[in-house]
Amino acid sequence: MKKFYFSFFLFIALFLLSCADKPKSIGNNLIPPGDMFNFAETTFTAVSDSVFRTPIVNGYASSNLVGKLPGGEDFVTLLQFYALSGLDSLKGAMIDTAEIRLTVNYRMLPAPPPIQFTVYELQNQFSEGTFTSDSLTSTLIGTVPVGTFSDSMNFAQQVTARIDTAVVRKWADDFLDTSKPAFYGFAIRATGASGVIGFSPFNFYSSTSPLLVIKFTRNGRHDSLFFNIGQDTFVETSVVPQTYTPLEVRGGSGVRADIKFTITSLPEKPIVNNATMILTVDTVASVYSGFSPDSLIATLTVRNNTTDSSLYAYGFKKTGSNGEKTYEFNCTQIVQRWLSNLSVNSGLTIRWAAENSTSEKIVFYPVSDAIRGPKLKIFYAEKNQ
Amino acid sequence: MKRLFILIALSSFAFAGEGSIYSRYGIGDIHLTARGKNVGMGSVGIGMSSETSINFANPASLTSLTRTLFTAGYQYRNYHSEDATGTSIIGTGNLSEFGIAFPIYSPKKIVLSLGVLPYSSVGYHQEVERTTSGQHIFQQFEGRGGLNSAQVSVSYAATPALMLGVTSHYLFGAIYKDQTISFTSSDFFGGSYNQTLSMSGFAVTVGGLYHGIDKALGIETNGTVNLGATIFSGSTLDVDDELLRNFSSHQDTVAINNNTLTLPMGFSVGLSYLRNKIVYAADVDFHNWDNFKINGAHPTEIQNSLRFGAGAELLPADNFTDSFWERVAYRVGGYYRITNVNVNGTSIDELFASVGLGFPLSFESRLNLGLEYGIRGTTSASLIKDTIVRFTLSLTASELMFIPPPID
Repeated sequence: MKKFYFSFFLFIALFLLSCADKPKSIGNNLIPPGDMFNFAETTFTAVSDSVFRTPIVNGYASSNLVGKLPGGEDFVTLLQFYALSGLDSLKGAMIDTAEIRLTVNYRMLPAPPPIQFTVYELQNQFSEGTFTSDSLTSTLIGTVPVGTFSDSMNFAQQVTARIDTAVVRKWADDFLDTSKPAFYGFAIRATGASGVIGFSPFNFYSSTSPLLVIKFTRNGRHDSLFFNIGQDTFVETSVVPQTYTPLEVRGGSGVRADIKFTITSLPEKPIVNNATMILTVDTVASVYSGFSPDSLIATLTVRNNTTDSSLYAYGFKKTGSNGEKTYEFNCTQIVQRWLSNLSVNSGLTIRWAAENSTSEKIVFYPVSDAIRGPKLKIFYAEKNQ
Repeated sequence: MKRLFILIALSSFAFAGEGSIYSRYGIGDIHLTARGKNVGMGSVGIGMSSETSINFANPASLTSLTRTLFTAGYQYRNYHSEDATGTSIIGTGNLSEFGIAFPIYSPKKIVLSLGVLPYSSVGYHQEVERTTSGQHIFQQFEGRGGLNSAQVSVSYAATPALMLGVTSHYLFGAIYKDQTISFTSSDFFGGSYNQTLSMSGFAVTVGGLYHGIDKALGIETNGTVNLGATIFSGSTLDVDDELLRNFSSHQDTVAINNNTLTLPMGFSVGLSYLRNKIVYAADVDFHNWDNFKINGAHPTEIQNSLRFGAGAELLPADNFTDSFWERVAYRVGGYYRITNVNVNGTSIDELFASVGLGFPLSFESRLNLGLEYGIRGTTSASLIKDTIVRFTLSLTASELMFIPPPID
């Protein structure tokens, strides 16, 4: 009986040892030609381009932009502090000073210092999660200046604006009156040529977030209140009607571009190994900041042009040997879905990746430029299956 | 019933394995029907019968069984393949047989047998590396799987000398063929085509075995000559052909149903001669693979197969009172097979030599070891030469093994 069990378990052990290594590749001559993938490439030229502007939500951005560009774009920052219970401390107190402190984290074409921004009181509340340029009404921003920033606005510098204490006094008086609206907001906008300055928002580091400092005296004792939480956003409101080149994208203002390619003469349902869209930059017409521009995003065009598709591709800047600057987008998955009839080829929408944290304008050579216009280079594999 | 499905599923997995690149043709490497102790004798067995082993090669031989037998086997295979560009070594092993047989009506020697055996196996892996359009490209081709036979056999003694038997095969299994393209550059996406051919169908093997054909023909010998023959009916298998394509962004499946695969008929004839504790045996197998078709088309690489095999077994003593080594069976054999593969106009033939031992375990139970060494193909004509070593271990146990010996 022991022999039987020994044999049985030996058999099971050998069975479990049914291992196989991957062999080296030999016998390649035995692969039928029909089994091999055919690998090829082809390049398509875009057939149409267009530029449109869409309202974008700039809340939760990494910068709140303020300033004016030579083209007439006017960026306005909105701040709304959460007062919590601190304002009741001001009851019966004398308000000595009120200040807004902001930290610079972005600069684009800054004017010679001092750069001047004016502070206005907000007349209504806003929500940073939904506020767009379409939300900006003529009654939102007060018409009476309540403070002024005037500084060189260097990067990482904290700048301060003195606020009219009467505004704070009014907030303190209204704080416990439930019949009065409880919001405490400011708008900051440029009064003259300034370039664009970005300030750290509330949702980043607390050490650089907007700060409202109120100093007061009560019963002869000096004290201070600090407020550094709230909501913020910015909008771009053009002073003059903007005109767009045939193919450009702008940050901060929701200016995007559509590009359409018609893909023909490819085998049915090939494996798209790489599809790269190449856009050549018109460096003369483009407006960059002193910083490296971030990446662009190309998405499948969607009907309302406001939301991104779940499929997108990033484009990154490259400089050719001739000094020509291009952005290259790896659109492989998008093109694969077009060719597999899973998505309709309505073209690609181009926008800045961090669209709500930059005011860069980048202009590409359009479809009408046969040499430097948009190209889509496709590498594909196909089989006769 | 649930256990049966699990067993079949497990068997399907267990029979899979890697193997020769030649298995990419047709339905893969075709397994020989002789198993167990016959492996050591050049895999012959058409004209053989035994009380102590289940002979899957000829259902008529089951009539010799007087008690319930159980058998299970494992086979390890080592392939050393070479062509003009290099060599490749691969080892693999899997279940090679699983069966049980029991007499159900002794006066007519009606014996029933159930078994699961691999019928064919596919196992290859090839890679092609090249640079095209400035891209470094890898293409991989893998095949695996194969066909299995779940079978029921019944034998019957028409006369004391003439035995008849029939095996009903349920052939089932799947062959997986994966074709993959990939790139060195991370900017490039690969893709693959994964084809699954799921097959099933029925076939029949009819066998006959004549004990003492020498006596019947009036030929004077000093032993006993048996003549056996089998006919395999062939089959038309239903094939579900499914192609899964993997792209960078998604997968899609193309199902092509209602295909067929035609397995050809086969004929086998074998002789055995027992004299002085030695059994000599020889077989000839022919399969008409020219009639093999996939979806009505005959692959150009498939040809008729023909095999000649011969072997011998020496069993010095069979009495339980004899010493252990006297009860060990010693086997030797070999075969030459023109396989069903013909590539580039060259027939892929194989020549095998084998030896084996059968160790007695207890009453009518044996542990059989078989070692085969063979060569298949050639390195000329851009082909591959496989040097194959197969080691087979099979256990045959009688019902007596499970009966405790009487206490003296």
